[in-house]
Amino acid sequence: MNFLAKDLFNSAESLLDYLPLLFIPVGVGVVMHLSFLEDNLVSVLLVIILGTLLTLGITGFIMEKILTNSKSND
Amino acid sequence: MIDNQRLYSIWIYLQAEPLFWLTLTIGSYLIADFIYRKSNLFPLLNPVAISVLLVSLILIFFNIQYERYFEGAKFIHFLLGPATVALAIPIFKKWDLIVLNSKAIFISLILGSVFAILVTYSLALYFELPRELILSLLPRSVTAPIAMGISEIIGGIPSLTAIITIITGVIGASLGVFIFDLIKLKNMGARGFSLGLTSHGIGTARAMSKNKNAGVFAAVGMGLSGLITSMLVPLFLKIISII
Repeated sequence: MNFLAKDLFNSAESLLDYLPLLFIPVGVGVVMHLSFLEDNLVSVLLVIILGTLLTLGITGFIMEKILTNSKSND
Repeated sequence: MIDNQRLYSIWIYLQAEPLFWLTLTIGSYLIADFIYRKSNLFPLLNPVAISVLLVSLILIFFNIQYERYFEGAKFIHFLLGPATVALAIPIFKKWDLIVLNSKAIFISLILGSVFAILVTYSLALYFELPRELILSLLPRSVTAPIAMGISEIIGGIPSLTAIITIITGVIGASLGVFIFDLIKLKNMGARGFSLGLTSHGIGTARAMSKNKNAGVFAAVGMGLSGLITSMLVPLFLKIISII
C-alpha cells in the first residue's frame, strides 16, 4: 500500500473538496435549457421532487433497519 | 478619455475570453460556499444550487448564450471526470467499513434502485406524461453520463435525461435531510448511502461536506446504483411490455 504515493491521496482528496464547484457548468446548462421540458415542466418537477424524497426515505429506512437488526443479532 | 476607451476595450477583451466565464463560475462558487458555511451547512443553501442560480441570473440578465459561457466553464466541467475517479480514494481508505456492512449495502442497493424506478414510473403515469418523457425520467437517480446512456438505449431523450438527473441531484441534496429527520434516521452511513443512490454526485457532495462516513457510503451508493440501474431499467421495461 505504501507504493500508493501520499500525493495521490492528497490530490484526490483536495479535488473532492471542490466537488460542488464541478457541477456548476452542468447545472447552469439545466437552467438555461429548462424550456426543453415545455408544458411538462411542472409535472416533471413534481415527479422528481416526490420520487426523490420517497426513494431517499425508503432506501435510508431499509438500510438502517438492516443495520440495527444485524447489530442486535451479534 | 483615452483611459476610458482602454478600459472599455479591456472589458470587451475579457468578456470575449473564456477566462471571464471561468472566473465568474469560481467567484459564484466562493460566494455560495461562504454562505453555506456561514449558515452552518444549512441544506436549503446548497452551494451547487446557489452558485448555479447566481451564474444563470447573470447569463439571462446579459443575454449570454450558454455555449459561449461553456467555452470558459468547460475547464471546470472537465474536472468532473477525474473527480469521479477520485471518489475511489475515500472508499479505499474506509474499505473495512464497506465490507463490514456489505449485506446491508447489497439489500438496500437492490430494493432502493427498484423502488426508484417504480415510483418514477408510477408518478409519471399519474401525471399522464408522454412516453418519450417517461423513458427519459426512468434512469434519473444515477449519475448523468450513465443515465444518458440508459436513456438512449431505451428510447428516451438523453439531453432531457441530463436535465432531469441534475434536478434530481439538487433536490436530493437540498431536501433530503428533512426527510431523514422526519423518519428519525440516526445512522450516518444509511443517510449517506441513500443520498448517493438517489441523488448521485450532487447528493454525494452534500454527504461529504456533512460527515466523512456518510460521504464514503454515498460514493459507494452512487457507483453501485449506476451499475445496477443500467441493468434494471431495460429489464423493467421488458417486464411491463410482457404484462
